[in-house]
Amino acid sequence: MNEPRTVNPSRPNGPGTSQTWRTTDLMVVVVVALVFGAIYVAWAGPYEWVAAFGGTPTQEAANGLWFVAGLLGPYLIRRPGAALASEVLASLAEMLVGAPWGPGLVIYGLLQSIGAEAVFALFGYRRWTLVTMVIAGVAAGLVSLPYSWWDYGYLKLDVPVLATMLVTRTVGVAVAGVIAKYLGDALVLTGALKDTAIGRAKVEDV
Amino acid sequence: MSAPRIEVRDLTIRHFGRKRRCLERVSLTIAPGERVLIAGPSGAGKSTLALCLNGLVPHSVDVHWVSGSVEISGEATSTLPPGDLTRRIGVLFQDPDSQVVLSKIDEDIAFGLENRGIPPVDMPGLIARARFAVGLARTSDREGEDRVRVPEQVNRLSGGARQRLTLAGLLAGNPEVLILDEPVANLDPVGAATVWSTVASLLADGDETARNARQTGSQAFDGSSSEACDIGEPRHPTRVARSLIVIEHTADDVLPMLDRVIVLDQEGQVALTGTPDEVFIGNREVVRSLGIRMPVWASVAHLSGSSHLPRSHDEAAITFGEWAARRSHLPASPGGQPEPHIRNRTDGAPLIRPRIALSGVSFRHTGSGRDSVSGVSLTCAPGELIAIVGANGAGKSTLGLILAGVVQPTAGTVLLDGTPLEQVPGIDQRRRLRYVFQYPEHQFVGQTVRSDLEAAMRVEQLDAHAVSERVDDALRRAELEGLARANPFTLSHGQKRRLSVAGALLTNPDILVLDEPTFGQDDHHTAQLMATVTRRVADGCTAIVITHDLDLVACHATRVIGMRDGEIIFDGTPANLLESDSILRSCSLRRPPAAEVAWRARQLGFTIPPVACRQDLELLKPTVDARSGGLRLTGPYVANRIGDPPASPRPREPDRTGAQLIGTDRGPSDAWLERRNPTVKFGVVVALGFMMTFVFNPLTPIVWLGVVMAVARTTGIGPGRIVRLLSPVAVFAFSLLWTNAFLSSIPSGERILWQWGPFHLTVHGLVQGSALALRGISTAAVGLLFILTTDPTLLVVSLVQHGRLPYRWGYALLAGYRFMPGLADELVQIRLARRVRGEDVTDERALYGSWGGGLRRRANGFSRPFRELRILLTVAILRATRLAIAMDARGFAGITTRTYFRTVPLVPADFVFAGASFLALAVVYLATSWVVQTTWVPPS
Repeated sequence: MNEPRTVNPSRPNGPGTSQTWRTTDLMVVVVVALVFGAIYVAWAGPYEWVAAFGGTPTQEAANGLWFVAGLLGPYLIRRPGAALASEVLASLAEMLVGAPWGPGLVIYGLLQSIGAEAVFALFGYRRWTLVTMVIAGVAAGLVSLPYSWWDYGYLKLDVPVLATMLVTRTVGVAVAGVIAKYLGDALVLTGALKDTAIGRAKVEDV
Repeated sequence: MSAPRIEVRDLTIRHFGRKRRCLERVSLTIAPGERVLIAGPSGAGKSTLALCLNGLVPHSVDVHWVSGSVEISGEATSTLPPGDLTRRIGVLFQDPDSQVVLSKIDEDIAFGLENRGIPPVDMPGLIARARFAVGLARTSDREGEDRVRVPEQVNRLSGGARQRLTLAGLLAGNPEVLILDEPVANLDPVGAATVWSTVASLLADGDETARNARQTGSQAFDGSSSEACDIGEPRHPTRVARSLIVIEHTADDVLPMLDRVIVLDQEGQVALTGTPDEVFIGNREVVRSLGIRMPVWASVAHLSGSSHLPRSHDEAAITFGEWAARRSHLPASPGGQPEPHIRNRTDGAPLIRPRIALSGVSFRHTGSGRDSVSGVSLTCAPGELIAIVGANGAGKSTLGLILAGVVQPTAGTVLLDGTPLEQVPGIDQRRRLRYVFQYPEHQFVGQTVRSDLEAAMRVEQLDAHAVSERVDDALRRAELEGLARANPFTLSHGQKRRLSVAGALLTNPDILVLDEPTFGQDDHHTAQLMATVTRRVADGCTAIVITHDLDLVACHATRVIGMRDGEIIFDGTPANLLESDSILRSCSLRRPPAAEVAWRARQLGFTIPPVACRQDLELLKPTVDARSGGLRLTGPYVANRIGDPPASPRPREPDRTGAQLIGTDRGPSDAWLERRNPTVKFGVVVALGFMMTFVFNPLTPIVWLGVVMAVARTTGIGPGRIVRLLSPVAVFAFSLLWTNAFLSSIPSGERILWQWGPFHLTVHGLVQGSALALRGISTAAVGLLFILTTDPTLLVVSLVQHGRLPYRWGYALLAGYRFMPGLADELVQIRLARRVRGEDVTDERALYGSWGGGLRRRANGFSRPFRELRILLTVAILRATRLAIAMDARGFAGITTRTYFRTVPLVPADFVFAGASFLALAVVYLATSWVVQTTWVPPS
């Protein structure tokens, strides 16, 4: 076909270049946020029991799951601000679904997305490889670490314990990056995302 | 108000991800006030055309716009602002679940008005009028016997009522053009009837409505129409200037409204355009060859050789009856008149050996107050094709699931060939009983079409070669060979359905249950699917079809079971069902058009050949005699002679007992804490949580917890409820307690009470741990109190109005939040569907399978949540994408100024509340710290 890739009269430069989000992008992020909001609430159950007996190091590892929405949203939409929006909305959704922690969750949502957003921005919102996703996950985990440890009062723990926690936390958030990428790719295969940036990049014309 | 002229020139469109063009050089004009049907086979680009007409393509949906233009009153849609376009042209789409944006009726109708910046004072009047127009008037606004309770919560409305609600949302904005894109495709017959009668009544008294709207609310919509010149005008005798564009597979219900029909072909080109008579009678063969469903009235006209399309069922009945009378006087043509094709019916035949027998079977969902199937006894024999009909929620699907062994009844016995079903090994059940779900997406287990079919074969325990042979065969029969490597989700609707049926038939099941196999399918695919099923039935399979499509029932079923409220109220032949008005009514069914015309003809005393369904009519041979076309009935003549049936009464639909909203909208309450501004409350809770992080003694959180519980008590929330809801947090807090007690750093001079490896218990650590644990619990208690006293919708609206949350995010969140409960139902369906596909038994099999079986089983079990999540997200994203387009269709894109129907109050008392909260925590902190300082002597 000798047709140009995009000839949309109202958006001559194509969807990816527009700074305003289309409602479709907005809704995809919202759905990711809401579904993960529900998962976050559900995850709190096993997490709490793991934490109760495994202590803070296992808790930090299991913590990784809470970062997935903030990585998956931008992976699908590939727009500035998507990481922030996904994770903040997911925390808001978690609250709406009924997590007892309430509004405090939104602070975590914000802090847990800043690192990822910065990494994606550093890559110009253009590179979406496994490495990018893992780096973004780790960055998100580390940026949110000080507040999290202050809030839970971990700072008085033994240094070796803290070191172990740092390692398990890093592994947890790195895995979150892998999960987000794996899940995003699996979703693209289903064709549901053909109207989003990732679908545009990955789906071949059939 | 006058509708614009819509001019499409040479429009060629290709969708992203598709090589084939969707529309090919389409040129058409829709005159102001015209009522047009756009027909065409699936995939002809009808819906894309609709999206182009109101500018959603290209403003909201990206496509390859290859060539051409769409002009509204001479201006290209691509240059007009999107908000302007959606204001003038409203679209109603097909899926009732992905068009409603907000969870309450008034708020949802207001959504479109808000996006257009209508002043809030005008909204209640516009909303009330729109609700009245679609038959959803507020209970208090109704008069006399019409006081049917209309639930205000959207998720309590049936599908038909939701479609009418969306229609009301469009009407409130008073669009000049109304586009209906298969608005009843997902509805049951009664829901569909209410939508069409609403549309018909809108057209009938549209003149008046338009005038009223003009006189009361027109300034709001456009400043150009001046009241002064309208009021003096004489009432226009004919019709309102609003244009109507309908896209439909089944044209029967809309024929009386139409001026013109436009037919698109498979390639997305305009194949035909003309009056309904010209298209459906004059170009009958073209229409048929495109696979478009022939309206029954057109078939009747064709039979009698008339070139005039009847305009009512009675007129069609008379035409048909007189044709039949004329035919009987004519000499039989060579070979005789063929009788309508006789199906292999077994009506009345004694059932020799039941395949499956249910006796006294009941089923109740956990937590439900009533049985969804109660005391059903039923036997089904090999070679029967049984249709189960009834209203939504009558228990049809549950009965189907029981017959397929997917759910176990809570009472009663199920015998499969004389053996109690629970004694049949799981793997045999999965092989012999197959269930095909309404939404094929739910039961796809493979990444490709091929692997999905192979998965269906797992229960057969065949070697790889035999499996591949059978799969090849199935692919060929389902006409999916070319797509063997495609992902099942990327197939078209019809292809998905064929794949799911092919998978179910692979194991030669004894019982095949199909849930709504023809929903939203065109004629060609329906015929194809039923041919496959009928072949299997002839081979001795028992097929059970759950459906609303009585045309299908009349044409194919050997037996019909009608259900209501979980009980069987009818068991007989399709002919018996179609004869009885009372049974049809109690099963919420309508006689399909062909049967209706035949029934009326008989009522009028004509002797007619047996006609039960559309296909019967099509199989009759037209008689051409000298007087052909001589019989002309005009509307008034018919009306005088028999009179049309009264228009269907205002729709009465039962409350929908769907899933409860998570964190449900609790409705207004008088509790003082619930009246506080949600944004202020939100900020207070965040701040209190932060203040608490500076507390390191156990006493402050304990006292604070007491204060919170006391406050909760004043709003009617007892301590018991708080303790129960906080128990998971307590489990988590236990972790904080022991890690700090055993693993915190030891201050100099601290005595170690006990030591083992890295663990060392100190009093300091214990105090520290309990302080942190209690602090977590008390912070969670505050959060919980917030959640229990805050309405989620009001919170988001308030965060938009007072909290700087961008409105696009806020309203997108609310729209998504509304359909979350639906997703929970969906997950239940997905789990059932995957059980049907044998995931559970193949796991079991792996247990005693070859080496590595246990490992595979464990890997399988581990990845199951991911697979479920993938399907759930896929379904959710598809729905969200549709919802996004529906939101843009109601003006969400291109907003210049937005107003708010409901303003969340922000009053001085809110700030007093905030101050008092901080003060309370400060007092508690200072007092408890003082107590700790003065009484606590750390042991050293």
